[in-house]
Amino acid sequence: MFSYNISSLVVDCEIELPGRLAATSNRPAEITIRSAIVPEALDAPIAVAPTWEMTRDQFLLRVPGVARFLVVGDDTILFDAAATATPADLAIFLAGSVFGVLLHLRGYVVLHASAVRVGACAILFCGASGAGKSTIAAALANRGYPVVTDDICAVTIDPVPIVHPDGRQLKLWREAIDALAMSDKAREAVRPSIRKYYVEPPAADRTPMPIGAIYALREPRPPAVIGIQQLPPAVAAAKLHENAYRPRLVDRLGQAGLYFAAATRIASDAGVYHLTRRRDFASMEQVLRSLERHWDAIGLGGRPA
Amino acid sequence: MARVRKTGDWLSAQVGDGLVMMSPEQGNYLGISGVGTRIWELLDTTDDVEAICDALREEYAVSPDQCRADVDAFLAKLDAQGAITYLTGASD
Amino acid sequence: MTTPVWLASYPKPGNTWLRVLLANLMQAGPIDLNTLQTADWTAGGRAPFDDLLLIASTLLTPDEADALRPSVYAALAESAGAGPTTAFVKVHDAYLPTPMGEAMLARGARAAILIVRDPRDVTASMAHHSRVTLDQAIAILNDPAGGICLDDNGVSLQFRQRLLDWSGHAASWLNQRDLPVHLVRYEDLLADTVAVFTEALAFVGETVDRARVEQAVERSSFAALQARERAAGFRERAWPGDPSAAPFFRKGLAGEWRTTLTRDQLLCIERAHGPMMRRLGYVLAHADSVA
Repeated sequence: MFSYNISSLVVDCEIELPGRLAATSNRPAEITIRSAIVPEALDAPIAVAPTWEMTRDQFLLRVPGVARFLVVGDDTILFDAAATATPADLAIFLAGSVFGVLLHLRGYVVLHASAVRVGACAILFCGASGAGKSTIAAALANRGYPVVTDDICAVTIDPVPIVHPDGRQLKLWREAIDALAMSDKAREAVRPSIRKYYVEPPAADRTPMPIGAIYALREPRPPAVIGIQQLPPAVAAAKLHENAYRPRLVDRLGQAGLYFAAATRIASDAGVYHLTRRRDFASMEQVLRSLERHWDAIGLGGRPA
Repeated sequence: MARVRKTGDWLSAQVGDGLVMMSPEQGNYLGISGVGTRIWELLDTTDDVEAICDALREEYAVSPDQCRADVDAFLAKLDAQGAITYLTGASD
Repeated sequence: MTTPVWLASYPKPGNTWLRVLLANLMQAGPIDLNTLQTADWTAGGRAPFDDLLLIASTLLTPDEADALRPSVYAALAESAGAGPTTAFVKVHDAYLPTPMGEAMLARGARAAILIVRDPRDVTASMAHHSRVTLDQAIAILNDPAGGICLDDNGVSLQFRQRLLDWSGHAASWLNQRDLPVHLVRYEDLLADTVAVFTEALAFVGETVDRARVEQAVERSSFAALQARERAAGFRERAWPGDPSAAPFFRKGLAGEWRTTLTRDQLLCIERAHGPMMRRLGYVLAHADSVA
């Protein structure tokens, strides 16, 4: 068994999860991941989609050519690997899509976001797949800001919104690794078949911390203009739901109210903003400078040494 | 005489000096601030638009016509979002 | 019926204009250009895929994603019940099978409208919109392995979309037998917008009175669109936020190639696409030099 600390949960996993930092806690495991025979379909599902189905206490996800994954209750993940799957294939889907579903099932506020620490707070960058979340977090890590999460960001509200670090490496496309001059930190490919790689962050933070600000990434398509714009609370609430890791699952699980409560709390305590910028690497330096100015303006100190 | 009633399963939360609302059933979000927040509160105590206007005129320095026009405009917005329904006398 | 209808086109043949026409027709007032894209989904976008399948599409190879895309379109078509009678969905992909052999776009729609445009004018339009030279644009039109988002070193918000070359794209849609397809030539749409638009609507089973069609056409005229674009900008411009970027709604004239392309360039296009140009009724300038 390999042991990991993911989103403040101690996870025992039968296979090694590359890109995951090993657990430091001695608590007993809260989640177990192991190989087992997983059925093609579930009996009496309450929701069915082309790749997944759900009953009251089980959730089945089929990734063709990789595995069938079954979440049982809220503490066990079973996987049934396809003949063609490599350990890396299993690991990336277990740690990403499947663990994301588990966090949703456990009632976390799960955001599609990457985050770094500024001062004592987590700064989140959210957006759809391909929006540039990981790239901006990597660029900030290069400047000395510790990485907190990549792609999936688990938040609890108790009563302050707290981010739970995912304890994982960054995942970057070859293009981004080259542009950010991080080849020396690049590790193996996340899957043998795609050109996205685990990247060791120059610095990482693994302690839970409050949210300092959330930025929703977008490009300056009219009428949006380049800059940082604070969202009015109602828009912030809609934006947070839209940037749930899996919005459809939030609705299916009847958690829309939970995200609303989280959003209004975050809008009060931290602030939700649009970060409107060009997605090209040439603009990155300018984007980072405008972020640092913004953190000064909203009182988030802690420029790294 | 216009009468209105709150409808739907709106959740609401105070943010700053405003109110944010969401209808999980419709997926709608709504922000209310200033006098709007007060009107939303008053809708819990009365369904009579005239009574709402009377209450507001005691709290704010505003002419009766202006007050009525602003209240009607605000209620029309709530109506468009499905947050209220007109029981009688919807003004267009 | 509430299933979507594909609005299929090779890039730059006036797909956007047709969608503006449709949107203007379906709405009471003139549309806000900036809501056109967000109000709907496109077949090339990743977001509906990830949300519906709960799988990160960026972790899939293009072939793996292609194998699953049909199920997304089928599921979206099935759940479109509450929407307007006909949902028009933009698609640039050529009509091709997935690696599993299933037609990718067969289950997502009940019909398709294919918009084609004279490849000689597509060249000029593409050079303008994508800021490439005319020769580069011709090379793209003539590339049998052409497509959008083919590079696998990075990631885009869109899927890989295989286009084939200009002729191959049109042939793939015209020759398929899964969906009824209605052909709209951009030039005809320009020349008699009301008639061609009405015909396209009739094809999908929408009968609309002439006055409404005329009104939608008026609101969608290039002058009206350009005026509104100047006022509000437009989401689909190639270089977002770049003030020097070319306006999306360009003059939109037919036959512009006569003054912009050299004899060699014309030959290059007509030799590659002569048969399909003839099939679609485009008269060759150098028929004697084209086999």
